[in-house]
Amino acid sequence: MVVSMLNQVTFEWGIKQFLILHVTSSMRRLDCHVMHELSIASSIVETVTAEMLSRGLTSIGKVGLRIGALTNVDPEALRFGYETMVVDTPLAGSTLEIESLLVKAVCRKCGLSFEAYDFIFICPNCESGDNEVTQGQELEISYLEAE
Amino acid sequence: MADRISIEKKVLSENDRLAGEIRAQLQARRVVALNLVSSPGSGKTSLLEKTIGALSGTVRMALIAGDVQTENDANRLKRAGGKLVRPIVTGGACHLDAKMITRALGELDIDSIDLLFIENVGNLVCPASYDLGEDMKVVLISTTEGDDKPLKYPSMFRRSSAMVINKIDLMGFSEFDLTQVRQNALSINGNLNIFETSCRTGAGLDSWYDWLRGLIAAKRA
Repeated sequence: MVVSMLNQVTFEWGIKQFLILHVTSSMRRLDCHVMHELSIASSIVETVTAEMLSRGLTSIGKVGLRIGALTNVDPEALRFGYETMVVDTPLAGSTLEIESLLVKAVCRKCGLSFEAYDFIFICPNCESGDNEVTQGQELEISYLEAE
Repeated sequence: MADRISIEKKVLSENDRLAGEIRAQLQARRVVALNLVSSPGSGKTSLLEKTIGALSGTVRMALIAGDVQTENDANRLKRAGGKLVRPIVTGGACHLDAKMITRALGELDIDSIDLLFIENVGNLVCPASYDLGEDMKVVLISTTEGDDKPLKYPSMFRRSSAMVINKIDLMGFSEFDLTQVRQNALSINGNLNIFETSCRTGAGLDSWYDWLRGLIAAKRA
């Protein structure tokens, strides 16, 4: 009984590893030949796959992302790329939940925190162009939700 | 309610890790590393050809030239006198990543250099996301492009430390407005060093070379 269960687990594990290798290598060939978001999607699949393996998860429901507006990543294109890629893999059926973050900066001259509307990084208070981005460069996986 | 597992991991963390290794490796050898980015055809290769010609007597240089197809750029750099040149043909990918740079550096003798140029694939979108372990990015724009390009590709202009406005000899043949492009670029990034050059006439190249020499001197200090 125990042996057959172990066999089953090992078999599933093997299949998964095969799929992961197969999927990630074919994705690398595609890369962003098609679009920028596809290469980002491929990195997400790799990271999520590694997390699933290390946590012993066999399926996944949602992948939570935080994406800053300064990353040039279009959420809809990313979603499309991801969902196309995960068909017939252990990640099949999972969806991306994207939290979009606006661009914010802090002025180095007067210290004001401001939102950089339309990516214009000029302090609305003192008009200095010397500032530091505090939000908007995120490209992070924040959480996974098992099904 | 499904179980939520907190991950907090950068999507490009593996690339960032490799870039960190490259940066440490170059820093230990006091090499200045510049990542050149632009649209296709702004003049990255021409600028490097000129730079090799002007500095190769005094500055030891290595160059990595990325292209989607062909080794044409790398061959041009060799013909211009580049001794340490490695091509990277991405075979479709529209940007270089840190793994490609690690591989290319393994084939270059970086113990003996002062300056490393990485000529990225011509593209103002994707290369912005991929850290290659460089000290800084240098973005090129030419006067045959729109002067609103910094506003269209803010991420790249924000992440760059210098902007080279190339082909200034062609000013007047297009609607390109020098004052406008400076204003646009500085509204995205007020700390940009700006150069105006023509690789055909040589105009403005001296201040570009001086800036490079300054970076090398600062690295050695």
